[in-house]
Amino acid sequence: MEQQPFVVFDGVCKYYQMGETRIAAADHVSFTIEKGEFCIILGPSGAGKTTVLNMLGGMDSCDEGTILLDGERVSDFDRRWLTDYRRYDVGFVFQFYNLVQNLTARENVELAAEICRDPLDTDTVLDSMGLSERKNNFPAQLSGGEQQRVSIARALAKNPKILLCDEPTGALDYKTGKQVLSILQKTCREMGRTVIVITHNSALAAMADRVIRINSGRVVDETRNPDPTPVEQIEW
Amino acid sequence: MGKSYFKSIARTFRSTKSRFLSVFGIVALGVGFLAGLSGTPVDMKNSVERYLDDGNFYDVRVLSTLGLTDADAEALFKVPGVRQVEPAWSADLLVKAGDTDAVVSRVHSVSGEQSINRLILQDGRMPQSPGECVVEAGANATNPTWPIGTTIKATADNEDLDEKLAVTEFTVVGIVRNSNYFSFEREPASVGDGTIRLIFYIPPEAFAYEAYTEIYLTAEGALELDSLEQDYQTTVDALTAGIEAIADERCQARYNSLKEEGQQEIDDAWSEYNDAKAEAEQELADAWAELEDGRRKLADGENEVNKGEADYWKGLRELKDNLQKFNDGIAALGDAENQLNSARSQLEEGQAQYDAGAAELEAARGQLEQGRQQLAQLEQLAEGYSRYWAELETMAGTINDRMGLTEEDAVTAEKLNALLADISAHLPDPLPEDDTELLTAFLQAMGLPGPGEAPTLEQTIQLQALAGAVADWLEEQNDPAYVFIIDRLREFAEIEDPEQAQAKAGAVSAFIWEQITKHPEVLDAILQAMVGMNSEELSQTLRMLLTAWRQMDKGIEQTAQAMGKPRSEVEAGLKDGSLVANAERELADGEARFAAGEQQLADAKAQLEDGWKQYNDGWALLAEKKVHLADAQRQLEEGRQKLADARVELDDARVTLAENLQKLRDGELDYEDALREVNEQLADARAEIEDGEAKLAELEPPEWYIWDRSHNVSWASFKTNVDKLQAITTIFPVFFFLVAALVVSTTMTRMIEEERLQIGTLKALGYRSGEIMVKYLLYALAAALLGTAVGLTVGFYAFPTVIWSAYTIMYYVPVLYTPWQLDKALFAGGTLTGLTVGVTALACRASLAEAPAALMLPRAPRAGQRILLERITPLWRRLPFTWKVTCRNLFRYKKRFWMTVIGVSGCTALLVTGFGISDSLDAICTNQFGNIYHYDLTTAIAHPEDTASGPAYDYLYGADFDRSLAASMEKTTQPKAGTAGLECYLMVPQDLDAFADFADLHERLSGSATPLGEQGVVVTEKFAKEMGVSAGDTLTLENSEGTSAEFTVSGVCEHYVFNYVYLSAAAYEEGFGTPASWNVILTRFREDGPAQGDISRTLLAMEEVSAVNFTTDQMTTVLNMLDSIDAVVVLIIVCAAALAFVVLYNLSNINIAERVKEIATLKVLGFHDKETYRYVSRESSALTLIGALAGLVLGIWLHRFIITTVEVDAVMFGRQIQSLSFVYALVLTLLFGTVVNRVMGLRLKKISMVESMKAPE
Repeated sequence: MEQQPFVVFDGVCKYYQMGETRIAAADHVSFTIEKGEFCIILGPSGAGKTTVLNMLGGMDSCDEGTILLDGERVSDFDRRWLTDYRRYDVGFVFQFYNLVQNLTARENVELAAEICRDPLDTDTVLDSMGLSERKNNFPAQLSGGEQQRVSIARALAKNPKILLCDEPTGALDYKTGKQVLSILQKTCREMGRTVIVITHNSALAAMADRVIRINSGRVVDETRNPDPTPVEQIEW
Repeated sequence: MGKSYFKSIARTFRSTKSRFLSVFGIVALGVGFLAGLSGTPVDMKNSVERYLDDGNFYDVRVLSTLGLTDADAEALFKVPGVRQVEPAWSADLLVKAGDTDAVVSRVHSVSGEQSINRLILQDGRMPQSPGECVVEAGANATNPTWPIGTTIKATADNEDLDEKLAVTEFTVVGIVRNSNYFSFEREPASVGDGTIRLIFYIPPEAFAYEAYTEIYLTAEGALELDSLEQDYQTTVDALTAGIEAIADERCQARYNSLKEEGQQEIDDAWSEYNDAKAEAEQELADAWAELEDGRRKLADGENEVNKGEADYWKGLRELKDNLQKFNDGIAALGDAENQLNSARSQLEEGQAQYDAGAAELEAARGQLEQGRQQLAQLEQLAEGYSRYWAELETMAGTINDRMGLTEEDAVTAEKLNALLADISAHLPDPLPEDDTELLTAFLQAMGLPGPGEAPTLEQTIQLQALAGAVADWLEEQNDPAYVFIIDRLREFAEIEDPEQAQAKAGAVSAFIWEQITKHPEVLDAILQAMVGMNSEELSQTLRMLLTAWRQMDKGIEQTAQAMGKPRSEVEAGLKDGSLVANAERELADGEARFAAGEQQLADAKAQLEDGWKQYNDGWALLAEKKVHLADAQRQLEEGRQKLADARVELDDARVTLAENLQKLRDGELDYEDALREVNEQLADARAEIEDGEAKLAELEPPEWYIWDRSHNVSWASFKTNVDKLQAITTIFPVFFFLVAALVVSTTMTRMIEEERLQIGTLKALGYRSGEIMVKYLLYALAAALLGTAVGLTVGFYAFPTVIWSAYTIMYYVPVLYTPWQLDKALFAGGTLTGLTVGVTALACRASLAEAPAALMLPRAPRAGQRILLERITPLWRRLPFTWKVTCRNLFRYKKRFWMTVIGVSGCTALLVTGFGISDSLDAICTNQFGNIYHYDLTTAIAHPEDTASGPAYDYLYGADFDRSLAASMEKTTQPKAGTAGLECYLMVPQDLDAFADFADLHERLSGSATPLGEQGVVVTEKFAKEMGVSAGDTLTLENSEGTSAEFTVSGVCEHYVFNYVYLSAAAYEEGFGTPASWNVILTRFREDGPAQGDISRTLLAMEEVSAVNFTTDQMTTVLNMLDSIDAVVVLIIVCAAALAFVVLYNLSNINIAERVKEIATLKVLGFHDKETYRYVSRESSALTLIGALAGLVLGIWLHRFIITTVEVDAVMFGRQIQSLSFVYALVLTLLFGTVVNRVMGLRLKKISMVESMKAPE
């Protein structure tokens, strides 16, 4: 039997009831992602990227179809199972970092690490993010890039199966954004972690192992990139 | 501003419902509390004021020490400022109302429809005749203590009752209310135990007063004024001053008129006295003359009686002589009779002897006859006997002849006789007919043994002889037939050995008998051989002889029996003939004796007859003598009767005499009494007149008491209470107001911050600042105004109503008016509304001042802060992050912190206060009645001596009770500067040691005992506080007689109900100069003692008991107070809950709204619902806890404040709050917090994780 892909989306649908009409935010979305891949989900605003991410991240449930992660049927999970799924299997990096303002960088990481089964060492993760000096600063005392790195550190510290990043560079300037992406790519390459990045910036497609293009709630294209470009070489 | 702008405003309202609600709620609460509570005393005042005005309550009351007259009333009416003047009567009385004795009561004259202090009829009708009355309803109008139909009777113990009342018994015909007594607290009375229990009104004509006791006045213009305000006081003061101005003059006038009247009365009395004296003296002289007359008549009567007595005694003596004679006659008669009787008995004895002799003679005659018969019989027997013997001789001769027997062998008569006897024995009687039997018997008698009979040796010899003889005889016959027989017989006969023969004898005799039976000729042969007769001849002879023998034998036997002699003697007598001869001789002797007896008897008979004749003659003589004596007796009886009559007459006369003497004596005594009485009366009258003169001389000009309403107990108590309430109602709302202000400002500030973007956008679009601001101002205004409206509506009604309900146990007011009070409404509503709008405006201004561009940018999140706690690194390290966040957050928003802490602490403080008030009242019960008072009953005794003996003493000191102790208890009012005085009891126990078992006197805080020593003066805590004294201080006390003395306070004791000064008997006497008078008995109950109702009935039935007071009754009063306070406690709890809810709801609301993104992020990170809930709620929980703890402290202070403010003079509330109350308050507060948190928890669940994706605001 052929080995099952790490992430499987098979005919996944998500509908929203808007008054009389029913809108399909995800319309029979099907794709697969292999373990250790750096995957970019690409699409314009309102294409359904976030819906997909929400479902993959266990923040929302699908109405139809099957979602598998490492053999687990995420699509069948109930509310409680989903919480555990988020808790143990998913690391999330937000566009606006979503750090707890009242906790220092280290504490923000520990906040996540504390609830996990097998967390990574907080200091190691922060060091690897180049934040050794800023550990005891509050988010308000950090720059955007630094905050995002804390956010990534927080997600990684949980030692998740997949790392989901929602427009991680959306709020950052070009240079900082690149730096963040570089960290993510490095994470994927060096730690062998599956990283899924959602973005509307198609220029980034080149750096991914796999690119899934979504438009109007459908997968319009799924490409495997055998030779991803390092992010430093990508210009946009 | 366009349409869409207003739309956006409307949307804002809708979308922020919870915020709008919280602003509205807190404003409503704040305004409602402030306006409602501060308006309550005003409502109460106004309602009472209206009630008083409706009843035309007096403004001034004038009393005089010598009463008031119509002239006084007229003079008062002329005082400027007087509107109405009404004279009236009143009196304090002890009455018997229904079954209750000695009820302390006050009676007033019924006032008219239009008059001052108008009565308001509640039930029944007004009195129409002097014997009717109406009673004041008191606390319970629907079920009054003395209902319609009760009889109220003024008892005789009232002093000068006839000067006060014309009618003393009244029937209750109606129940009324009078504004004069709208408080159930009663004025002190001048009689009984000093507390009025019954107030009733009677028609003026039922009073007997010579002057009015008081005059009520109303002041011109006072009705319109508020009597609790200064304006009113000024008006009344002016009137009072006017009255005071005429008081002296009126007093002098009253004095003069009284003096004049008095002098006139005294003069009249003197002339009356003299008249009476003269009259009395005349009457006495008449009486004396009458007495003299009586004495004379009595002496005459006595002489007469004495004469009669002498006659009587003479007659009596004569009678006695005659009687003696008569008695002698009777005695002689008796002797004669005795002699006769003894003669008779002799005669009767002789007769008896005679009769006995006759009977004896008769018996002798019978014996004689018998003897004759016996003789005849004997003779007959003797004759038969000789004949028999002759026969026998004949027979013997015959036999001898025939047999040819010799003289020697001859048969004799004697032998035959014996043979016959033998034969007879073998035969029955009478003889058998068959000859064979006779012959057989003969043979047997002759020696032949019977067939089968073994022959004896003797018989054998006889048989041998017989056999020989028969054989001989048979041989002679020569008959061959007999050969065999002959041989046989011969053989036998020849046997020589007797023994051998005997052996064969049986067989031979059997052989013979066989032959006899077989051959009759053999028998004949045998007989021939024996007696020479054949069988026929022999049997005939035998039959004849046997018959004769038997007759003879019978005769001899009978004779022997009859003569009692042995048979042989008789036979011998017969043989020699002596028997008959003797019998004949005896008979002849008997006949001779009989004849002599007959002669003797005849002689005796003649003698007897002669005796009887003499006896009868004696009786005839005696009868004659008896007739004579009877006559003499009759004469004696008559004489005796005459004397007895005379005696009775004499005795009657004597009795009459004695009666007359007694009457005379009585008359003399009466006379003396009358004399003494007249003298006494005259002396009394004189003394009285002189006393009157002295009094008149002492009469001092009267004094007027001009009292305004402050001297009215109801009014004064109400005023005090309202003042107290006012103090409380200003403190209470402060929390709410403060919290409301904080909540409103936080909420509105927050709102503006939330709307930054919109403000920026609008500004960028070109809206002017004012226009933008309008939206928020409108929002704030709407919430504030709505809240104000609701708060005022509810507050103005609810607070006065609930609070008043607590006061209704003390006051009666028909309607509580709860109108809106504009000033309060404006102040409370205006302040909060202004604050809300002001804060909003300020916040808006701050935001609007920024450039639109800056507004469009999300505001930099407020930086995290390090807090002090972090410096304690080891501790901090160990805290979980959720806690770290909580701690940092707590101190991050200072305004919220204070808002919550103040609000929650207010809530807790209110709860502590609420429960604390209950505790304080409870403490009265538990401490006063549990720890301090150990006695259960106070019995008031009218006279001191009855506390040491008598039925009440016996009962209370008896086995039904644990123990009792006499004490002195005086109700006094101790002067205190600036007040009407402080009511207090002076208590003096009779026995200091025993008293320790009745009351435990100790200090409250230290708990150390303050025993009442020999010289001790222990005051109760409240009293000490009111009078400003402590142990060791000098205290001036006044006893009920009005004597003042200085004492040194030896201790201050814990005490809650009423003020007491405990004194030792020694200290009392030393201080006041008089010993304490024992007027109560304190009693401790036994557990198995009689029921309270029985005790009460038993005691009240005793004359010397004037009142009983059960400790449990006092306790019930306090417990009732507790019940009414419950409403207030509930109100406080509800308010506290409201406060907690509003504050916590607001806090949570802000927290959640502000941290939606953070919460969503946590959810995305995989926090469980519970963890998320805890993360958020921990903050409000912590604040709640901090607030609650602060509130506990605050509560103590608030409780203390309220308790001391509401306390009345007579009662000290407990100062301590029970630890349980703190627990309750804390738990309730936390519970409120938890409820709010739970509600918020539901909202947390609804927060979508998608929020985390949104851009920061």
